[in-house]
Amino acid sequence: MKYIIGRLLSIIPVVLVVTFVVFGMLFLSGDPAVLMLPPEATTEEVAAFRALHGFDDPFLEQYGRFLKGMIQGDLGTSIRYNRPALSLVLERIPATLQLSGFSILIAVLLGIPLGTLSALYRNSFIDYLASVISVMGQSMPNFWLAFLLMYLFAVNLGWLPTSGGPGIKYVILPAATIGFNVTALITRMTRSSIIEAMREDYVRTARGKGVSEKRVIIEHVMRNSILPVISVIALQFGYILGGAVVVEQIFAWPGLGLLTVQAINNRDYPIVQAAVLFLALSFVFINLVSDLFYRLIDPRIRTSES
Amino acid sequence: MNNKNTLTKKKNEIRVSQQWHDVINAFTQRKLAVIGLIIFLFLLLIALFAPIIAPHDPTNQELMDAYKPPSWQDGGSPEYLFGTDNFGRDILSRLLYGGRVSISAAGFASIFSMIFGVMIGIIAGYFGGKIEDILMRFVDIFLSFPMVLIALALASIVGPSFRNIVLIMALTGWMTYARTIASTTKTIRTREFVDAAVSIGAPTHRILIHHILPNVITPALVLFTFGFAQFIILESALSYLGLGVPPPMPTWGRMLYDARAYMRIAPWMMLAPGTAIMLVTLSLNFIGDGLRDSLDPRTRSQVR
Repeated sequence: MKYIIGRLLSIIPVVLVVTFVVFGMLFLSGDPAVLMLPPEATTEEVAAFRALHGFDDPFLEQYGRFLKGMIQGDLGTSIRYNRPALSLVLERIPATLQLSGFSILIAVLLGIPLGTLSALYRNSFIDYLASVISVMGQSMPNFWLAFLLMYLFAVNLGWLPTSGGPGIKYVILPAATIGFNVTALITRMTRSSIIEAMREDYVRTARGKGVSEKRVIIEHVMRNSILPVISVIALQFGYILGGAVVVEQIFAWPGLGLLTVQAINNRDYPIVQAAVLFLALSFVFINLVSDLFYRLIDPRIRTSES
Repeated sequence: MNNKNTLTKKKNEIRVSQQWHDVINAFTQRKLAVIGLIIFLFLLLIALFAPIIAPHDPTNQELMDAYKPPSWQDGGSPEYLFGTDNFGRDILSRLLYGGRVSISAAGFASIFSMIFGVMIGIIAGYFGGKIEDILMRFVDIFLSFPMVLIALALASIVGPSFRNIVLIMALTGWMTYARTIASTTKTIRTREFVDAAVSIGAPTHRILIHHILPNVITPALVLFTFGFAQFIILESALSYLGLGVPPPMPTWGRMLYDARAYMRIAPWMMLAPGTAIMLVTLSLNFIGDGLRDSLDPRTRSQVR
């Protein structure tokens, strides 16, 4: 319990620094008003814009206002759409979740069996296949894979649409693209985690008792080796949310990444701030939940600390 | 006394060179690592000598020659080995010049992020306690940012120039160094030679530079190769999204972006830059894997 409270409190400085960076980012260029207005804006327009958004106030006062707004769920107003930035961001969440969800699903369905089999049958064909996949997944830039998949399945074979969304038909190619990198990671993690678990004493004990090999694998090895894999999946989920930017762009998938890139190109920074803040805080939150979940289901961590 | 000193020094040198000898030996026995090194050096050299090798000016537009397929396809000509793009620019020449930009930007970014990350890591690991807590907390915070978006946003705010892109990328990549080097430093700190240096009153900066730093260089090098590959990908991603090193300089990411619209009629436009990006990252990852295994005495003898 003490740990949980401590872990929750440790979030506060993180949130403060994250918001500070997201807020302060705009001031790197010198003048946020000049940054956000088109280059042909007159001096009067710049001055009016500055006054409107309070850019003339002391920096810390502006930061305080930003924090206060954030607590009230107000992350500024989009310049282009003239709507609250946060609601624009939230509108894109379903599409982004759909894409990351499918990617993770593909990766789990492929990666866990592949990693398990390659650990059980080391140096076999399947192990070789798994190692090729994990090397490729580590080195293959996802945008290049996106191009290849698009060329093959959309342009050449015409089975799937090249771009657009949302919808199941549209999500397959981008999800396969992102899923491939994650598959590689999950395969690698599962493999090494199972190999490690196989060396444990309890496995030898179980075998010594005459437990069938199938039950040893399922009840002793799998159950103990799946934990680290779950935490990797959780972290990957947070990572995909913000890492799918280029893939979303290539397939014109209407997620958070596409919104943010468009906002960056339009110099619509309130949206950029809201999106980055949202993604960073979700990452922190996912991390927190996965930590707490880990403690909940793994008694070894709980007892080792008390 | 003096003689004895030089003698121990020589002995040390022999031991160190023996160690490197083992590492190089182990590295060269790893086929993939050697292949990776050869491919990477080859790409590095052709990018370096692009002005000599490139058959055309990478920005020169020959609209009459637009959409020429690569020389091995029907309608291709040996004049344009990898074909031409929608403006009739020679893809091979653009590829070579683009390689200069991509590889050097990623290389500089790797160097800067390594220097910064190693510095933070050594300080955190050596001093420990509160200093370590605070620095490592910063690492955690930085890791929680969606880095591609941050890099994009920063590039649009400060303006994409070669220098800015390098610095922005370096800013997104130092955390892994800091984390790994901090834990390595912590174990080195407990070794006798550090205690000895402390007890003879060596100043802290001397201990950090002469005793800790040499011992963390090898893990840093492994991270360097992997980081290099990551930066190649990040640079291409930024260029693809229009916020990399600005035109007229060709970059691989920009070439891919241009190819997206012509995928149907000129698929070779994407082939060259995509393959180049993949080859560089693949070769760097092979080198990194080989280096990591050869530097670790536990896996050094396992030849794969």
